[in-house]
Amino acid sequence: MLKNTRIVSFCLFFFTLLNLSAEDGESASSALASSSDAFFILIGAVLILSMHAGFAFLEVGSVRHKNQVNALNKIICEWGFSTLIYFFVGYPLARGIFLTGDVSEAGGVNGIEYIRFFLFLGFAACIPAIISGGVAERAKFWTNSIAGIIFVGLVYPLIEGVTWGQFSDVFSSDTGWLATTFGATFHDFAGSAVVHGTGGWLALPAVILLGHRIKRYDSSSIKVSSIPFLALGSWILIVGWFGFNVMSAGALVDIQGLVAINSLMAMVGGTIAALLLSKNDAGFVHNGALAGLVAVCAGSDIYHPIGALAVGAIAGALFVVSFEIETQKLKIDDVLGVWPLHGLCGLWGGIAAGIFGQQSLGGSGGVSFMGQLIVSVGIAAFAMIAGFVVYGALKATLGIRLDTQEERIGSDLAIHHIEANPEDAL
Amino acid sequence: MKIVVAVIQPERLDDVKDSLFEAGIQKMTVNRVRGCGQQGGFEESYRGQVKKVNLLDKVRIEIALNDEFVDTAVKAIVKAAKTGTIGDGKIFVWPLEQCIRIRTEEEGNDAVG
Repeated sequence: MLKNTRIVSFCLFFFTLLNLSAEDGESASSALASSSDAFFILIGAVLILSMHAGFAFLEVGSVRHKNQVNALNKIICEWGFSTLIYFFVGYPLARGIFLTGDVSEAGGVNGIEYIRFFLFLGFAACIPAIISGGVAERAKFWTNSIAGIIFVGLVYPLIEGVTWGQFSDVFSSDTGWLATTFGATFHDFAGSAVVHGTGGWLALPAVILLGHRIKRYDSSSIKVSSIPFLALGSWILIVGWFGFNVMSAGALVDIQGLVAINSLMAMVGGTIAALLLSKNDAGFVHNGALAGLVAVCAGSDIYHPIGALAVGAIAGALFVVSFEIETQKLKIDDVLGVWPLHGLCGLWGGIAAGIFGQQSLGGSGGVSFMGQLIVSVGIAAFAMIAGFVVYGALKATLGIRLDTQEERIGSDLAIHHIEANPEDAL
Repeated sequence: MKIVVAVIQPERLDDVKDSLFEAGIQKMTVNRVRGCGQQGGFEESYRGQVKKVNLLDKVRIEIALNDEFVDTAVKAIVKAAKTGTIGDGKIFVWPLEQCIRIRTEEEGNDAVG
């Protein structure tokens, strides 16, 4: 009797559970969807945050020993300035979303709006981190920071706004001008042109207006301090890049393995092209991988993996050739080669989506070559003009370059009053 | 036989090497050293703790020469290392008693070469 009662009560309990889940099924699955989206985007944001460690160490290795501390302080401080200006100005401008409201509402379900901001901040903060590598070893800390604040607060949000954000109707809406004229909207999945192109083309005028480092072209005396740190920086960037690209999907249900394999293929293509063209040069090989990744961002969700390999390989070759022309023939002292790496390879990536994204080349289509070309070149031109205006104005007023004596003793001692290895001091 | 010792600014080393090579002097030993002269030092600080540093990075070049080449070497070093600012460095010329080339066991002027 007792046994039977137990069985009955167990069955009752079981049916109650079933009944509950039928009633609450919808809300349970929507809670699962929103929380997994939040988690998905958070992982992407943190991976992009880790890329800033990559920027820091790539620069530490690529500058002389007397400028290592400056590279590190610049990257972390610029992350700080970027966060503040993007939170209060840049993000509302680009997306029309204000996060300063009541905490119980502004964040949305699972606080996903806050996490989304964190993700997009990671992209925006790449702008000063990219420029940092070009202006290394001779830029004044504070004026360079002011330039970065203007770029993250105003210039990049305008570009983000018209491509991905609240002003994107003309280029990115199915009924907009670009789609009705060329048959497809502008496609930049993870920011070849929008992020890297902007950063690289802003950096070019900065590097030109600064002028080359003392004695850069008098002899072959400019050296890099550490190949291991340079390589470590490159590897951190490579790993983080899979968050940059894959998590650009923005929602877990949109996760796409194609983006991951294409990023991998482009990285490998860039590495091997740089290896072959540079006769196994350590600096070129490690930056070649990054060149491939810069270029693949835009079309990583529509390429065939072999198409992605070609896009990356062309980028790796483009980086090696254009870096040598820029720094040797044109004598533009771009320390890390950020204009070839982010500017040219970013521009190439934006255009490449219109070539290798086509179905005839194995892609999934939905892109137009002319549309990609016009918007990518437009972004580059706008960024370059903005760079000239901002750095030109700062040069004419506050000055953008350390004085000769400061540059000679190095920015570590001149600005931060410490060497990278303080025990060496006697 | 003489030893010419020059203490120079590290960033002048490439120019000094080129200048010496041009003057036909292609033998030298180079060290990174720390030292102080009229240039004075600087202050370093870490987490608010300040330390006075007065020994600065220098490069020390040592060249063994036969007497007739000493003048050429000194001029070549001065030409390349001089910027006209405090901290350019100094050149010392010492007498050299003996020199032996290990490979051939030659001695004296022949060994200096």
